[in-house]
Amino acid sequence: MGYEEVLIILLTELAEALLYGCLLGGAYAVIGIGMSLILGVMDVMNIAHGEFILLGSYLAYSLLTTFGIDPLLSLVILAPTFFVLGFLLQRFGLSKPLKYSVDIFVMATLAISTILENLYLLIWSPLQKALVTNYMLWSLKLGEFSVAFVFVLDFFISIAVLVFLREFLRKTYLGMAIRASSEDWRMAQLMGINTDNVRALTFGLGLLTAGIAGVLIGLTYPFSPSIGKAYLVIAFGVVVLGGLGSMLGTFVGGVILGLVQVLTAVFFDPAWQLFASYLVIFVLLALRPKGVLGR
Amino acid sequence: MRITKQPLKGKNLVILSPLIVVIIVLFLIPWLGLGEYLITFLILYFIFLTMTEMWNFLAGYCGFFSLGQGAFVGLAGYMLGVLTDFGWSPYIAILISGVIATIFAAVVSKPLFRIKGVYFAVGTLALTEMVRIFFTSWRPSWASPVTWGGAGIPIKATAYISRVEVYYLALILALLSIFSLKIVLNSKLGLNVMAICDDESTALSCGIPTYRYKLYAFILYAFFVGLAGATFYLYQGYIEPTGGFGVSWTLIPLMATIIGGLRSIDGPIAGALIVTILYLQLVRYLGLSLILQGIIVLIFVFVAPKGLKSIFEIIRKHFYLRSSRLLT
Repeated sequence: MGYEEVLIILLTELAEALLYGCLLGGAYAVIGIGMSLILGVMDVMNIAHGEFILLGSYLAYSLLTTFGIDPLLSLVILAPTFFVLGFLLQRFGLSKPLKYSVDIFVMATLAISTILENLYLLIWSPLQKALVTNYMLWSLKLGEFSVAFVFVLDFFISIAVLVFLREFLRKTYLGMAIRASSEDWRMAQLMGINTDNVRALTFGLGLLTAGIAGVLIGLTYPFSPSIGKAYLVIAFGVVVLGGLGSMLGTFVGGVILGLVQVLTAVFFDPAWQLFASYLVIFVLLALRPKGVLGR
Repeated sequence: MRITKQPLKGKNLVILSPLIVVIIVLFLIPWLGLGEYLITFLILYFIFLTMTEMWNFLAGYCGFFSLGQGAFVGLAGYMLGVLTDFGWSPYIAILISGVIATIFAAVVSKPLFRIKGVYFAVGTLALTEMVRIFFTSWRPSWASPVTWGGAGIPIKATAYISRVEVYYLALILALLSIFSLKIVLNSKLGLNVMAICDDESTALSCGIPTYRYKLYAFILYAFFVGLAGATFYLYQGYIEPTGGFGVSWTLIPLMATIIGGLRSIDGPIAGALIVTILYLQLVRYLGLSLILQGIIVLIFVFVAPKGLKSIFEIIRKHFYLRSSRLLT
């Protein structure tokens, strides 16, 4: 092979990796956005976020295998279910530890995450599961490359979720109440906003995005009960890299992690892809603690 | 919180004497012939106690809510396995394992201290995941006897070290950790660290070099947790990444702390005892064990967030306080 041919192959691989990285980054942004919302309004992180994402994957899996409902269709059922679950969980459960202290809240969500992970082990076995659909192996031709359809699907649904959330937070009364509470919840309370409900609403929205992310990631990669922690770390990375309170930042954070992961998988070793993205989180944390876009 | 120095006078000696008796009894236990089970129980208890004391120190007094205990435990365990594999004495190997955990803490303190509160908690969790993936994936051909990837490595020293030796190691470790915490909390380091925990920017403006003192506290934590982890794996005899860097290493001190109460030195002594009993009772249920541990943490979070102290408060409210409430 001549020098030029090798270069062309390398460049094609690089372009493909960059494309896949960006597409995956969209899905990662949805993993992170729920955590970012909860963090912005309540100043806490939900340690069980990864397990809730996994719950989305597993529920979609069960709906697919027992009732034959397509994962994309199951989004219509799962998204409201997750919202109601999150709302009730925060309103009648986690609001008490949150009032007590942040540490206690973290303890509570860590306990929930451990309980959920081991419940998944009991219910769905430790074996890897995947959402098998007939469009799983489709690919789209984009000029020279062909792109897996699920990645494109992930990307566009993610963009839709991000844009929807952004508009919801900007335009609606509830969205404005959420933003007001994230700026100063005491003042928001004085303005007549029921902050307890706003928090529950935010937690519900966070879980809603977790459910959507679970279905999307479940369509893309196989999943097993222990992978929830990896989702949590990715969500943390997206929040840390993107900074708080901006959809664009979240998106950029997701894309950085997606790119690092795909580039490592293509050019180094797939076994190290998660390690590389974690390493990037810590290196960027040391260099730019306020996020890549932050000042 | 203020801790006043009390000189060792006659009155304090009276308070201290039961403590001295307890320590002497603990040192004599292997020779009283009370059975293997008690020794095993106490080994686990002392290891968990050390971890809980240190975790409580970091979370309660320094304000670093660490969920990454597993990173230090696992690293120390692996170091012990590797060094004893090379034929080192397990005692020196344990010490070096602690030092390795300390060095690791110093290295990761740079990015970790940039983040606070709940960010720190999840950051340490991410760090543990990172180290776990490293030890699962790292399988170079030149070091295949050292790490077997996800399969883990046996710790050879366990074969030739007796249970009693491990018992003494764990006992000395637990006593050392408690006494060093008592000393540290009364020292300049402890006071500075508590000041930083209460308000970092005020502490900084008072001239306390915050980064350095946080680092000292973190190093102390990592050293003792590393020692405790190495001692545990000397007892266990086998280490693999999922268990070694697992979240259960965080759950144990967390549970003991929430039972015993945050920000206290005596609380963990009771908390770790209950956790050890639970651990040994639940150990045969595998997956269910962690579910039950999680449920216990949840119950304490909702019913008694101050631990046993708030249970006493609830009891007192029901039996004694009713009359006093009528008076006010």
